[in-house]
Parts: sequence; C-alpha cells; structure tokens
Amino acid sequence: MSAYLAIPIFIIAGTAIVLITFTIARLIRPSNPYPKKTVTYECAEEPIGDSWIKFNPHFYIFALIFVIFDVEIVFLFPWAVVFGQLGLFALIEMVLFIAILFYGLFYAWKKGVLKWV
Amino acid sequence: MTKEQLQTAITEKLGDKMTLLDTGRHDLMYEVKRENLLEVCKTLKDDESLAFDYYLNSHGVDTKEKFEVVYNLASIIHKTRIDFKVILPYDSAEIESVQTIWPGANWFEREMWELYGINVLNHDNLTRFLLADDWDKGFPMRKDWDAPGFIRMPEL
Amino acid sequence: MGIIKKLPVYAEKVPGGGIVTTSLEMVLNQARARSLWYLLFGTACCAIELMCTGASRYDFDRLGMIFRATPRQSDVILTAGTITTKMAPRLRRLYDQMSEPRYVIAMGGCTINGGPFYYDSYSVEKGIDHIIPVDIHIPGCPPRPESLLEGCLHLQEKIKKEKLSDWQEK
Repeated sequence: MSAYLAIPIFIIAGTAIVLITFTIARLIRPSNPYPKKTVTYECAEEPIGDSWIKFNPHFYIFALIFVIFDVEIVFLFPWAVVFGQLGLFALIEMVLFIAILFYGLFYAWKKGVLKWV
Repeated sequence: MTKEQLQTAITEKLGDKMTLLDTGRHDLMYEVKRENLLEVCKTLKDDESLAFDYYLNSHGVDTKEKFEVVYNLASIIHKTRIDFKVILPYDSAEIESVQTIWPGANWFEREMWELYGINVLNHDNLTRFLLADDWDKGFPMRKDWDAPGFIRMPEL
Repeated sequence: MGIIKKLPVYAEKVPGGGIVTTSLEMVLNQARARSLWYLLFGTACCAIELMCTGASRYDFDRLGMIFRATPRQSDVILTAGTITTKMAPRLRRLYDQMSEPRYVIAMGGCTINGGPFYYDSYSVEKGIDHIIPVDIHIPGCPPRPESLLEGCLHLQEKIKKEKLSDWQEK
C-alpha cells in the first residue's frame, strides 16, 4: 500500500459523506412552498429595491495580488524541503526570485493598491 | 440655581407671561397662555440668566374638560429644570410648533398630534409614525376614544 | 420528496412492516426534538429573560437550541415580548418565512392574552393566537428561566409524540 493511497480515500470519503447526507435530507424533508414563504427575507418588512448590490472592485485587485504571491509560495515550499542538500547557488537563486517578486509588490504598494478603498 | 433663584429670575424677565401654578413638586410648574408661547420660549432659551437650552419633553394631557400641553425644559449651565403648560380648550386644540427654537421638538409634537389630535401649526411633517400602518380609528389617548377590542379597566 | 410520504403505505402492505415506520418516526422525532434552533424574536422585557436563559447559568445550548437570526434556518419562533398592532403583520410574515416543520412558543403574559396590557391599551394585540398558531404557552411576566426551559422541554415532548403525517403534510 503506497502512502499516496490516503489521498483518493479522502477524496472519495469526503464526497460520499456530503452526497449521502444531502440525499437523506432531501428524501426526508417536507417541501411546501407557497408565495408568502418564498418572498425575500428583509427583516419581516415588504422587500423593496433591488437585491443586486454594488460590489467593490478592489476585491478583484486584492485577489489578483494574492494569486501571484500564492504561486510564489508554491515554488518556495519544495525549495525549502531540499534546502539542506543544495548549495549556495540555490540560496542566491531563490533570493533573486524573491527580489523580483518583491519589486512587483513594492510597485503595487507605492501605487496605493494595498490600502483598502 | 435653586428654585427660589429661578423663581425670581422668571418673575423678573417674564413675570407677566408666566403664572406660577405649583411649587410643591421637584420643579416649578408654570402656566403660559397660547398666544405668548413662542415669545416665552425664545426668552427662556436666549436669556443668559435662564438659558434653558435643553428641551426634554412635551406631551399632551387630556383632563376631562380640556387639553393641556406640558413642556419640560432643562438648563445645563444653571443645572435646573422647569415645567410649564399651555391649556387648550377642546374645540380649538391648536398650538404653534417650537421646533424653530428647539429642533428636538419635532417628533414630540408629531406624537402629540398623532395620539391626541392637537393640531400643531408650522410643523413640517405631521404624519403618523407611532401607530400601525393602517390606523384609522382616531386619536387613541383622548378620554372619549373607544374602539372594538378596547377594554377599559372596570371600576372596582 | 415523495419517498417518505409513501413509506407508511408500502410498509403496511408487508407483514410486520409497521415497525419500519414507527422506528423511523422515533429516530427522526428524537433527532428533531433535540436540535430545535430558535429564531431570535425578542420585542420587550421577556427578551431579557430569553437572553438570560441562553447565557451560561441556565443554558439553552445543552438542549441543542441555538439562536438563529433568520427564520429560514430556524425551527422554533420564541415570541418573547409584547406584540403591538404595528408589529403583528411582521410577525405573521416571519412565521410564513420559516420552513416546515415549525413550532411556536408564546412566552410571557403579553403573548397569551395581552398580559398587563389587557385593560386600557389601544395598540397591543391581546394574545398572538389569532396571528400565528401557537404550540406552547409559557405564563409569567416575565417567566423565570426555569419556566422557559420547562416550556422548551414540553415542546420536545410534544415533538417526540408526533407522527410522520403531522409534519410531512402542511
């Protein structure tokens, strides 16, 4: 049994638990929709106005920066694992890598992107 | 400022417009005629020795013969309070609004109109806001109000 | 879904099949009774007692009752407080927005028949019975936390005695 067997077992078990519980709940519960029940909840008042609200686009910029640095971390992890066996060359190379990405972060910082508007 | 000092200050400035009714309570209670109301209120607020700048409350009272409108004021500088009332007969229950002098009086006068029916002149928004959305049963706090479902306390 | 509504019908046809229905009922009722999530509906002084009962000395969480802020996720509406004429349509709307199976606990004197506001009150609904169907009344002004816990236990007993057809239909 290889050690990687745990991964498909986890995936299958996780999916199965969710599917089984949702199916059992779907079979058991009563379903009785009538118009007064399905109206939008607005703290017991008549709902007024649109339910589409304005969305701050700054979320998108933050997500973008997060993705870039997340990919950087993905590269950092295997390097950190085998760091002991590599030499000075690996250290300098990784420092250069981080410096390039830090330059990008510095640019974003100075542009005022990290301040939440 | 004690009650006696306040009494002398009032008699000095507004002696002819406010008549003292009662000193036995915690605050002095005066009576003001309806035509002098705005002038009295302005003096009470602007004068330095009186300086009643904090408007606490105004509410209506329905004794069985007349309406009364009672105002409660306080002075922060002199640390004192005063009450005065305006007596209105049933058939001409109208009073001027004091919201130009104390803006906080807006909602209290609206409540007075809504529950008693005392018409408040020069008020900018005299609409129903305390009672139910579709209230059409009159002015509930009057002594002669009745409605189906209203149960009076039986005399014991 | 159709399957559980038709289960008693099919189970009767098999000899000894009634036991499936009854044991299923028992399991489901015990599960439902022990995890009643209540809608936070405190309008007046009874709400203070409700908060007090939900706090640490008399705990609601040991009965499985957690508060929810929305009627969509709650089983029980604990009306704690006076309901005025202005509030009544909103209470009805909240009750309508709860999903079945739903229960109502009327807490305090004001929800039973108007309480201290029965005489000389122009705007208090004298009892919420004519707005929403009530299962348990808890008297008191306000009821002590022990009273409220006993009321919730009575509701649990009531749920444990229910049949499948009670809460599957309307």
